[in-house]
Amino acid sequence: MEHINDTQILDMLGGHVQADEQESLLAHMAQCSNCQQRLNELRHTWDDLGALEIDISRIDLLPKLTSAIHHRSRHVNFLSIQGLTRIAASILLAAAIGHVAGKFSTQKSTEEWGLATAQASFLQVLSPSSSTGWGELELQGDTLESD
Amino acid sequence: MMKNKLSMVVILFLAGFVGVVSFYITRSLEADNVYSARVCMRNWLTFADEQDKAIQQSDPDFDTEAAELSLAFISERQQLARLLDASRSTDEQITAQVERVIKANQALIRRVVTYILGIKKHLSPQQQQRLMHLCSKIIQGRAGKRRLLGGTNGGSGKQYFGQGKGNGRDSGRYGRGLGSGQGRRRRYRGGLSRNIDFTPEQIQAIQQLDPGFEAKSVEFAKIASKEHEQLSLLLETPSTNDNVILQQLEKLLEARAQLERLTSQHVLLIRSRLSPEQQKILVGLSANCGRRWNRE
Repeated sequence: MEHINDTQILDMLGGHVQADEQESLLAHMAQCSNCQQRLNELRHTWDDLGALEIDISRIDLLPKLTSAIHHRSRHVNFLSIQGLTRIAASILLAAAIGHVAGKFSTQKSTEEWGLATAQASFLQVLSPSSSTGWGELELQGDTLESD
Repeated sequence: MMKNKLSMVVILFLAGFVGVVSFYITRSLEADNVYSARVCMRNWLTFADEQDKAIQQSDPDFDTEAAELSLAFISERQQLARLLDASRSTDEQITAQVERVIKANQALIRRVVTYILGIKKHLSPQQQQRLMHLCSKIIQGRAGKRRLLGGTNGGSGKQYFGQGKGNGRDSGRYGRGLGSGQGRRRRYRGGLSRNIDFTPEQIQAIQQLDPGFEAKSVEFAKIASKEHEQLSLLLETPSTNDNVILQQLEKLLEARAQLERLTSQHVLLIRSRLSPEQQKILVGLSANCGRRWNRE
């Protein structure tokens, strides 16, 4: 069997191992002087630490934790799904605003709709203009002058 | 932190760019948008929903048919320009083509007037008045873009007669003056001569070649003008029967056709005496009708 590592020894000292595992570890230590020695060292330290009286009841970790969480959250990862969604939403919003503004800026006045009506209904064909293009000025009555 | 700020700036810039592009694309699409006659009228005359439906059902094919007639007219006129440009074209060919141009133009005008009269039935008296006033202004040649949009009035047509002879550079260039020209004798100054810039020698030769043209041209133009005024008056009178309007339209079309035929015969007489540049101008007068007659 390999030597027992420090974590396993500390778990055992803390009472965090199962009974059968503890038996197995103790059986190994009974035969392995190195592990026995390491157990003694860590038990000594463990006992010393246990003898210290430290009151942690007044220490409030919540603000520190909140601050740490807030600090981490400010580092937005723009390549994450959330980040890309934000970018897409911003661009879509800008496009929509541009479209609405464009529509609004081209709204016709009543007079302009009148002109559009004349064009769309081909009303200009009613104007005094020549169908061949040669009698334009004659039809517009613009062919006389004073002496 | 800096990296975050930079990313935000880039996104804002990108969004701004997209917004500006979207704005200009929308504007250009709107500007190019060709609305149907009914949609324009609906916006202009503020149709009620029932009116809109009734008008839509009354003449649903107008846009297509009018566009086809307009294209046919443009095509005939361009064919006339081609015939005039070709030295091999005979007078008979050109005369026949002039007739086709006149007929195509008349077909379009009839279709437009029929549509307007059909719509008129569904309009309130106020809406009728606005529409007929617009038609009347156009018939009188007083409805250019500037005027429709509230530009200045006056200064057009017959009121140009009077003082102010121009620089005398050549026979076809005279200044336009103000006033009514009382006590002055008015002299014919043909439209073609001004468009083509005849030399004094050409004018003399043309007058000998076609001595009756000026007098007839003035007479026919006066008749056409009178028919225009009469149609305009009928359209502005709410009680006018549609048949009366259509009869007057036929009179107007005939008067215009007479003037066209007279002018085209004159053109055939003089075309051999024109310089190549003058012939180009003459051809151009026929060819350049796309912008004017098609929807701009």
